[in-house]
Amino acid sequence: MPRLESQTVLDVVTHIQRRLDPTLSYRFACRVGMCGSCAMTVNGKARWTCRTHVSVVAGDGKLEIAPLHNLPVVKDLVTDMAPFFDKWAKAKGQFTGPDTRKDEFAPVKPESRQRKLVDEAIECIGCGVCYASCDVVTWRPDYLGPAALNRAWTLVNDVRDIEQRDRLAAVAGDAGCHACHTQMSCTQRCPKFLDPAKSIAGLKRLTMSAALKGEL
Amino acid sequence: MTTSASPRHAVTASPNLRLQVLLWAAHRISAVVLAICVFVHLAVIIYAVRGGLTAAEILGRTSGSIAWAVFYGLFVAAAAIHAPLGMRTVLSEHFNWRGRSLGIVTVLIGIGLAFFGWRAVYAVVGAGPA
Amino acid sequence: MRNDFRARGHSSYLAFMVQRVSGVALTLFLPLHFWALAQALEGEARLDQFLRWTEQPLVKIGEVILVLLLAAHMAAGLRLLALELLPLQDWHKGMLAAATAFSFAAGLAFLLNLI
Repeated sequence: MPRLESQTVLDVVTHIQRRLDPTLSYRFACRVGMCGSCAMTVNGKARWTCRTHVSVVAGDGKLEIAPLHNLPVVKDLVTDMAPFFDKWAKAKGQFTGPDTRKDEFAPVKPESRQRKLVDEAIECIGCGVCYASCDVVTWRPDYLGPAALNRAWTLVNDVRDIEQRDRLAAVAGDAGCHACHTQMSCTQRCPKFLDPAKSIAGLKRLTMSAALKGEL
Repeated sequence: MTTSASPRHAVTASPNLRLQVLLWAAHRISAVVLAICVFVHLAVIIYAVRGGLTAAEILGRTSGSIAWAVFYGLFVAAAAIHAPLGMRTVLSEHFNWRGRSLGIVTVLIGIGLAFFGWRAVYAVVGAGPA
Repeated sequence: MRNDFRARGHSSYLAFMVQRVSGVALTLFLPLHFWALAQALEGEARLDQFLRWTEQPLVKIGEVILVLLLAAHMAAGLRLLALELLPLQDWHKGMLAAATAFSFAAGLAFLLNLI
């Protein structure tokens, strides 16, 4: 297929589907590096294809495109993201507050220590790249994974949330943060430069002290 | 939907989960103990191999010594906790091994290391004919 | 589908591999070590007999490797403990460099004292 200047891997996939093989299935949406839908395995590494220049990854002209690892394949380059989001829920990755909209706003200072920790990790858009890159996810099918645990960490540090005890129980154990071996493939590959490994380390500290205090 | 009037019922972790976390903590705490012991051990080894190693040199140092008995006894205990828990993770991840049988093997490795380790400590600290 | 060497080619993954391989190797070595020391139960002469056997070059090379493995496992382990238990702001890749340096220093010290 024609090689163009500034071509992205998504351009390549789109060209293949439009001109060479109309049966090819793949996912994309914004194509400008904001939504994370176009994540695939490119030359062995999980990437956003819309933000991956062919010239950067295929210097020798060889491009291998595959669906994201660690997820069931629906068809061709499309994976089933359900397990990824199911684990998000399992890690109690949702906010639960005590107030209703009739109550006053909860004041949270952005410079506070805990809010800074949340802000560092909150930008996750659930693209699945970290999850696909993690070997522990491959070795332990029940491991919650970096994204779910990272999100749990942002909620653990949210002073408004009232489900902290349940959340610590949800993220602890062999299927939770304690399975992480700090391989740091997640941090290495995150397209938003987040650090799930660091969030997971934070969860390890909190769950350990809770367990030692008999609060877990 | 909750209101600030009704208290939430907190769910505590299952005993199994608490055990997993405590085992992890034991692995880390034994690691700290081992780090200290290994540091001393490396220093001793590096010093002792100078000019060759003889039984007289080793036993001369350890024989009848309460200090070495306590040190090496603690060293063995920490290793007998740390190594089996590490092996448990390796076995479960690479061979997809879960459940009770893995737990039994873990404990057996620990018992084996403790027994042979303490026997070795006994051997060098003072037992048997000179 | 699984991740292969292309996805694993970064320093923290290498540290993990060193940690795992050295840990398994040391666990397998320990019983041997305990057996060797237990020779003293049958007297000093018996232990000396064993020690003389270890004087061969191949065994000495093995010993240097073991010291390296032990130092590497400890250094990598201390790095992990720091990453996990200390709320560091920056993860300091320098820790990995320090750990590596320490391991090789220990191995070298051992080797130099052997010769």
